[in-house]
Amino acid sequence: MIEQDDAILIRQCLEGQSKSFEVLIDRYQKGIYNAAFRMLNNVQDAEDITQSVFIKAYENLNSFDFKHKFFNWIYRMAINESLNLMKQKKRFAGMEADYASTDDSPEEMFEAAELSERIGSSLMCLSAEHRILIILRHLQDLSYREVSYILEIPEKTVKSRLFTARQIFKDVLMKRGIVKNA
Amino acid sequence: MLDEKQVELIHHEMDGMNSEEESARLEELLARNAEAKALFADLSSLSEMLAHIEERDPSPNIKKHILNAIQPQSHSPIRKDSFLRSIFKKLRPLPGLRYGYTFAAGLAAGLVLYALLGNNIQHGRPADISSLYGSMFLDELDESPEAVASFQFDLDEIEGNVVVKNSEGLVLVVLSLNSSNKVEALLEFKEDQLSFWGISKLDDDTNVSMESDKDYIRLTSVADNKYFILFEQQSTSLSAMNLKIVHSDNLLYEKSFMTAKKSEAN
Repeated sequence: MIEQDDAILIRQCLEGQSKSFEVLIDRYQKGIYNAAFRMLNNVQDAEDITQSVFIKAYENLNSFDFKHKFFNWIYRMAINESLNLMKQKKRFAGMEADYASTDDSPEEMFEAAELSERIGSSLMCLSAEHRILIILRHLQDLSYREVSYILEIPEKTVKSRLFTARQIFKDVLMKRGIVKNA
Repeated sequence: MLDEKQVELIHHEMDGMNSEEESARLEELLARNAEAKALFADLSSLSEMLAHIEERDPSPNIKKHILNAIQPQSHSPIRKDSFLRSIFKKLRPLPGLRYGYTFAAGLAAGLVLYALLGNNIQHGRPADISSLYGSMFLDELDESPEAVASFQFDLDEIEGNVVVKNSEGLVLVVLSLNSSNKVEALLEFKEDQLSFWGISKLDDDTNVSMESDKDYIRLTSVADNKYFILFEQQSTSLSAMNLKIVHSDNLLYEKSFMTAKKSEAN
């Protein structure tokens, strides 16, 4: 039903009813912001990405393919923008190095952090391609097919990467003392 | 050692992808295989952990900024004035009138030169743009009107900034690039939103090449310089631009920015 509503809102928008775009912003800005934040672990960057995604979406509404869901379309933009930003800031290499050298005790690293933030920040220890999978599947609750569309990779690849990502993330959480081995 | 199918069965269960029959098969597997049981427990625990991640609320300013950036009466073209008339008409409201008129006069001269000499530029081939400079800009134009967008970038050996100004549909992008290396600045835009009019640079001695098409301008330069690039806004809807800074075929920086405020796009 929401997808149908989205399509109606987009058509209204294209007809000049910009209020309809506000509804789309209200509906999806939180998801986009959170996806970007979990990708980049930086509030300002996540805000920039969110703004940029909605501006680009508005700008390109004419080319929106109604066969797809609007939120998948903007998620794709958000992920691409986040990846571009990461490349620019060369965070990728730094994060992977960070993962390799996480020998500090959990207490030192996360003394004041809440569990939610400890887990969220642990995501940054994953490579970008694995982190995206965890974010889209677990945090955004998207299906394999939706993730496949957003990342422009086959469903089979989504599954294999997701399975690997889970294994690596489990190891990260164990290493950081957040979960214990079963 | 679990085989691929068994691992997939466990992951699919986590994702709610298993049929009843597959779930029953998994139960049997878990009952007789300790490794499968351990993996299932690990993944269940992981899934539970991930459920602890709380969603954050974005700043209310995000929506405000987006709405400020986009134009309510979208996707409808505006009527275009004649070329020179529109320049003078549109620059008239600027606070610094003398700068505005000098700018317009210089722009007209530059554009005539551009039309005469710049055919090869329009077709996307690199060209020397040194003949297009002259008086078509004034640095003091930075002082007015108010900037629509303004940002800096500070990369390894390249730094610069962008200031965007808009006066009733004329968009001036002032791009400063400081680098001792060969650096490429790519400005991308939509042809139904912006139309490239002309370009000038502060330092005539710098070696610059440019190629442009209806939806992009690519400047390749070495050394420090400041570029003044003028566009006409083509529609009342949002107009935006994308800047990419490329060095040795590596994308170092990318940013999208607005070229009109909500009120200016009317």
